[in-house]
Amino acid sequence: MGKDGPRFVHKEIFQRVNFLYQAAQMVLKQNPKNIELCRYYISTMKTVAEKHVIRIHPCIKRTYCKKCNVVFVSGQTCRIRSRSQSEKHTVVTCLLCRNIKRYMWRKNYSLWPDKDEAWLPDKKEAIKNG
Amino acid sequence: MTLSASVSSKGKDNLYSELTYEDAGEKWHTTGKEAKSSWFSSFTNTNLPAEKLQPDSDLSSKFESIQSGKKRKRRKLKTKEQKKQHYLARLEKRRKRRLFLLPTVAKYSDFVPLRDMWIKYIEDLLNFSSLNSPNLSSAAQKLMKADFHGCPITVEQSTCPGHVGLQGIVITETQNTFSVVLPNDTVRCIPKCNNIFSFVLHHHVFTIYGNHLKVKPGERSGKKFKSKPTIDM
Repeated sequence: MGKDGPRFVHKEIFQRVNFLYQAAQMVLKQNPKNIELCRYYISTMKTVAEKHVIRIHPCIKRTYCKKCNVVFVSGQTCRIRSRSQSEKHTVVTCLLCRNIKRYMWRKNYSLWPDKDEAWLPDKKEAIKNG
Repeated sequence: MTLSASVSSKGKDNLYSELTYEDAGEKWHTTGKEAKSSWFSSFTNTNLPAEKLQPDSDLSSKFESIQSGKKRKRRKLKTKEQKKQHYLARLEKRRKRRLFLLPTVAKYSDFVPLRDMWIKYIEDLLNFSSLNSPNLSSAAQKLMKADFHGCPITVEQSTCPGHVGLQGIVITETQNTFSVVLPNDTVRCIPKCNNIFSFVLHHHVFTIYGNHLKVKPGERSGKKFKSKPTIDM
């Protein structure tokens, strides 16, 4: 943050991550057989984000397989079910590598970027004002 | 079990059958530790063959386990190292064929939207409306760290005369190669070494010297580039 107010640090990197994620989705949309190419784009996206210590938002992070890096398209590459054994939750299964991820439906739980502590005071006002 | 053997020695034909109350006697359910052990020793003395008898051996614990009846399920406990190994190592991926097998056949028409998306991305990155001669060096710096997947590329110069003039869309990039889809639906792998590439956007011609770009695509954005003189072929 400089004198002119909040500055967007690492803007190019965010643009690149954004582009790679959209490319991975587009490639899979064009031809469902392009699974390996989709994995390749997501893995490069992850390495780029890792190098610059950029946190990927959970909304994006939950839409690809953590194990085999394929973008989830429900019915095509993943299966989503809600279960209520012991505790109510959703189960997301990757149909390619059979990796399972569970998300609990807890009332008190909220994601880190949704919390107020995660935001610097100036930035939140700037976003509110547009 | 020792007790099932004792049944057979008693004269019954069926081996390994269940113990009945009659076999065990009336006092089988007696409580108290001493009573149990005394009953058990008398039982073994009468029923077991003389060879198998072990004097002064305490079998009361075995007796308890028989009395309880239920079989315990034993779950195999995982050690810490086994729990940690959740993600696959690189060699393991190769063994299970989960390593990226990049395409050798692809349709050009599938990648046209990728190219259009890439052009929009570069327009957003370089800000063409304010691209003048003083800005060009910073634009070049940005371009070095940009992504080239989807770039419509042409080979300008090459040591291999077969590569010169090839035009297509970049699908994948490795440390030493670009792989490119050509308009006749074939994928060609073109080495970066000793090749000069170019692409045209909004009346600007950008040339890429392959010799300077020999970095992995994921790691390129973090690298500092030094200006080096190029030796022409």
